[in-house]
Amino acid sequence: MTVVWRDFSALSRPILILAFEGWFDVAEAATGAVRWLANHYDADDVAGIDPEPYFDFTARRPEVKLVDGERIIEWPANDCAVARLPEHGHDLVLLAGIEPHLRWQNFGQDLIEVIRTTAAELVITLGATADAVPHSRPPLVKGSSTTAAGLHAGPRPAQLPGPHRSDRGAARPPRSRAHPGDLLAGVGPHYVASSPTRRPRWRCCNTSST
Amino acid sequence: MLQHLEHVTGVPTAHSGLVRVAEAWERQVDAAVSADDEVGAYVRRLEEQNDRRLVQDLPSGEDLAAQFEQFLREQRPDEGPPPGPGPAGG
Repeated sequence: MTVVWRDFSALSRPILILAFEGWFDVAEAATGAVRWLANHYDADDVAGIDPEPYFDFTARRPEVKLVDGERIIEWPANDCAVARLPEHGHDLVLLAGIEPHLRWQNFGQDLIEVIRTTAAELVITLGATADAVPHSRPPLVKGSSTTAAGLHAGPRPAQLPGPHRSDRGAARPPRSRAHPGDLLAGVGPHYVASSPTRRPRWRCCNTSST
Repeated sequence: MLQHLEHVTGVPTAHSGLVRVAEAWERQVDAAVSADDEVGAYVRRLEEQNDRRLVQDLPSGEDLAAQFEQFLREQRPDEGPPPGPGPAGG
């Protein structure tokens, strides 16, 4: 296993919220939303997935930084942070990571370890795609769930067709019962997809089950 | 997305803190779009398509009336259609 736990103790009814930079994070709308939550709740770093087996470092280069005169290498990170929120009934486990280049099945097993160790009762994946939609209208946010009770809105269990994502191994592990998982995907305008699109993070007037 | 996440989890997401950022972003894209006639025309076409789709998704008056009548019938089961034959008692 390549999950490194730093400082972790039991959580209260935790919900794991995932987002990964890459194909399913247009304009960083999904990872930006998770980072927004981590900053807002001042979440504590509790674990990280070792990047060594999962990344081609020539494609995603580690960055060198100087901190107080000391040279530090920042590797591509898939770190978990925890926000303890007794006043809201659920603690949040927040993972704003990077979609790995390699060994997705092993990566899925690592995510399952995170789910089991944190005892997350629900996993919510955030994502964002680009499409022919205008920037000047409220963005569409689509929702789907692996369970009939998901999303609190009575949707039918759903599978989105299309390219695979690295986190799907966690929502549907091979030959075992799937963990309850919801998906929220914002749709941003494709003609500004290269700039940070803020609106899908917060606005949603139109939801649909797919 | 944060607004919807809040609905699903029940945990506040402080999404209102992003309103100004979102408005600034929209103004920036507005300015970029209006600087190019071709892009401006494309965005107007997308807006029209978007608005047409929203109107099509609205239920008709007849559908609303039918659903309302059904709701009222369910609230007053004694005035509904007579129940069919049930399982034989023993």
